[in-house]
Amino acid sequence: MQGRLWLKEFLPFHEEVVAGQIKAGHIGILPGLLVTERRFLTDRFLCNRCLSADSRSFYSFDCRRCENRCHYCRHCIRMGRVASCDELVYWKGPERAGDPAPELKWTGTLTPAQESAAQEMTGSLREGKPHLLHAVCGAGKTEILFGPVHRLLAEGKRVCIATPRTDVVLELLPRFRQAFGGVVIHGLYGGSGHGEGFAPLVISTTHQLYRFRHAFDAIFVDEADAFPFSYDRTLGNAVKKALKPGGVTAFVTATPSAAVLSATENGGRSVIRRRFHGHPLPVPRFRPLWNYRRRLESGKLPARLREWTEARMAAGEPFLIFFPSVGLMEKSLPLFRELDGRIGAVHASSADRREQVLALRSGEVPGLLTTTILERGITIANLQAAVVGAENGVFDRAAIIQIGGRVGRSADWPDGDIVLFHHGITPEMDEAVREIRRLNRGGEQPVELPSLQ
Amino acid sequence: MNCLLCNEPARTAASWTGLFSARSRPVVCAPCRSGFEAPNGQPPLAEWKGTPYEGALDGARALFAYNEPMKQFLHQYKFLRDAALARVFSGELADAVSKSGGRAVAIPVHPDRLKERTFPHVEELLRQARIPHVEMLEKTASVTLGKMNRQERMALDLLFRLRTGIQKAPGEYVLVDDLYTTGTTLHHAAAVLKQAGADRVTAVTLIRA
Repeated sequence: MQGRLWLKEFLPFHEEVVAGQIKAGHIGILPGLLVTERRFLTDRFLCNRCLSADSRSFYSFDCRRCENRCHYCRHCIRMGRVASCDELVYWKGPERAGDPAPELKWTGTLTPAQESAAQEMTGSLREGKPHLLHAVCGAGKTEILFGPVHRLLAEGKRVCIATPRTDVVLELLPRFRQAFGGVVIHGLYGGSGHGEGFAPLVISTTHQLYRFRHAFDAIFVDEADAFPFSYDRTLGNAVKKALKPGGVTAFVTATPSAAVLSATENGGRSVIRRRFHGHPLPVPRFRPLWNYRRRLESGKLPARLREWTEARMAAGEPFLIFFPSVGLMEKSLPLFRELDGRIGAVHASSADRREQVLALRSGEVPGLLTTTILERGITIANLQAAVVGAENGVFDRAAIIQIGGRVGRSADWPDGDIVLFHHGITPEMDEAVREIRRLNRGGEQPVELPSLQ
Repeated sequence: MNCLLCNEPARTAASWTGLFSARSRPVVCAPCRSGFEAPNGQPPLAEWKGTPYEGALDGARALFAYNEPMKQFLHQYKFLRDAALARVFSGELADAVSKSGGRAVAIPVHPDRLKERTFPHVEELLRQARIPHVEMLEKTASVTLGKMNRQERMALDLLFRLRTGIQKAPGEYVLVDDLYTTGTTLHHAAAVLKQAGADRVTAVTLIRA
């Protein structure tokens, strides 16, 4: 249980064992909630697991266990409820002795740009400084991490790779298991279980970091700007809580936000403007699709959209079509099914998200409709992408760059079409295209512009 | 306020009652609300014909089907113990209980289970819906029906008795519970009330499983 923060009630050990360890001073106890401020009508609270302090997350009820007015945190309730009368426990006994150094089995070679980024990153982390790896989509970020992660593990350090999405955990886990021999790697996400035993390397969703305290010497935050990381301030605090005192953070992203840049101000920074295969990023093109919403809702597939889809199917190219909302996507699905009954739709609560993406990759389905849920971390050879309603607020600069980043990722098909169907061009769309062109020119330093929204 | 289920901001139409009383404002957003569906038929009381419990219940009504959103709701409310969710169906529950007529009685939880759950999940539904209710029953043993089949359930000894200090149960009652599965719980509770002199006992459950 080293580094973990457990609800005492749910510790997977016998009560007597736990009591003994508490007596021996090996287990520390924190109250579930902290009262941060006494007030006339309502006190203010802090959840000791997720560090939420938002008064709207706390709910009170008459507790029949402590026979009192009890509060609990609704922010992290899905991980098991933390109430005022709950106790959180953590290990403070002897630290586990260093594990044998893992073996780096990965035999690929890095491009010179990847190589120098890996070395710069290792350098910063060894000096205890934060590091930002700003690399375009398809630059081979995962491969860059192998070296620095291996180095840290070999020194007996405990490492975490945190990413906002379960899909990315599932994609990274087999690649790291393949690359490293002789080390236990846990993959943690909602519903994954806790993992058996002690793992020097943990690949986790950012949410699952709530379950850790002073656990890691280094945390790599992947897609550092993505929802929900940029959205949810408590998640940033969770990274701090999961780090050991003096631990370091590295951020990895294709679209750094102002918050990430300021967090790494005093640290190192590597920029990779070229994809690993050396070809430029596909530049999105704009196509007007006036009144698309009304037409889709009245059951008509706009001609331009139909032609684009038919051209993809005729050429046998897999495609993704991004929609601004689940509602509009579901209204459009039957219209696309008239073209090909196998076309599917994927959104955040689709249970078969993984299967659908696999079916697209294997060619069983010609294409998928989706929301921004698939904007990151998906690699499918020869993929083509379209955005319907690119003027919508959910498609900001970062989202468009990420969607464009799905296209042309493999060396065999380094190019592809990314088309933004719109009802008016927004500054965010312009800015995304400008940034991609700037990266393709490779000369100028990319300048960070805060989101215009 | 934000939706209690998806935590997205719930936009609700402005109304005069909403302006003056926070109670009448919905606590879940329209998309979440639309996931809950009417049940596929009402509890089949006829299944109890020929058993000692025939006629114990004079009527039963379930409000919602046990579909995926409802399973998630019940999981979060009962097993994750998110007591805040007790308010989600307050309106529907209050309507159904008042239509049924009689004094509301929540199906009780065994004291041992209550300590684990930290709040009485059925009674809390009534409290949040501001439904006046009386405590008439207590559980005789802490058994979990969920692990038994129909025959085992039907052969059980009485699951409830009158609370200590209560001898008679005159008048009309509406039993309230979360789930109607085979109806064992409700028939046992109704039989106890009938034996104590109740004229009429009906039941309202949130869900028909």
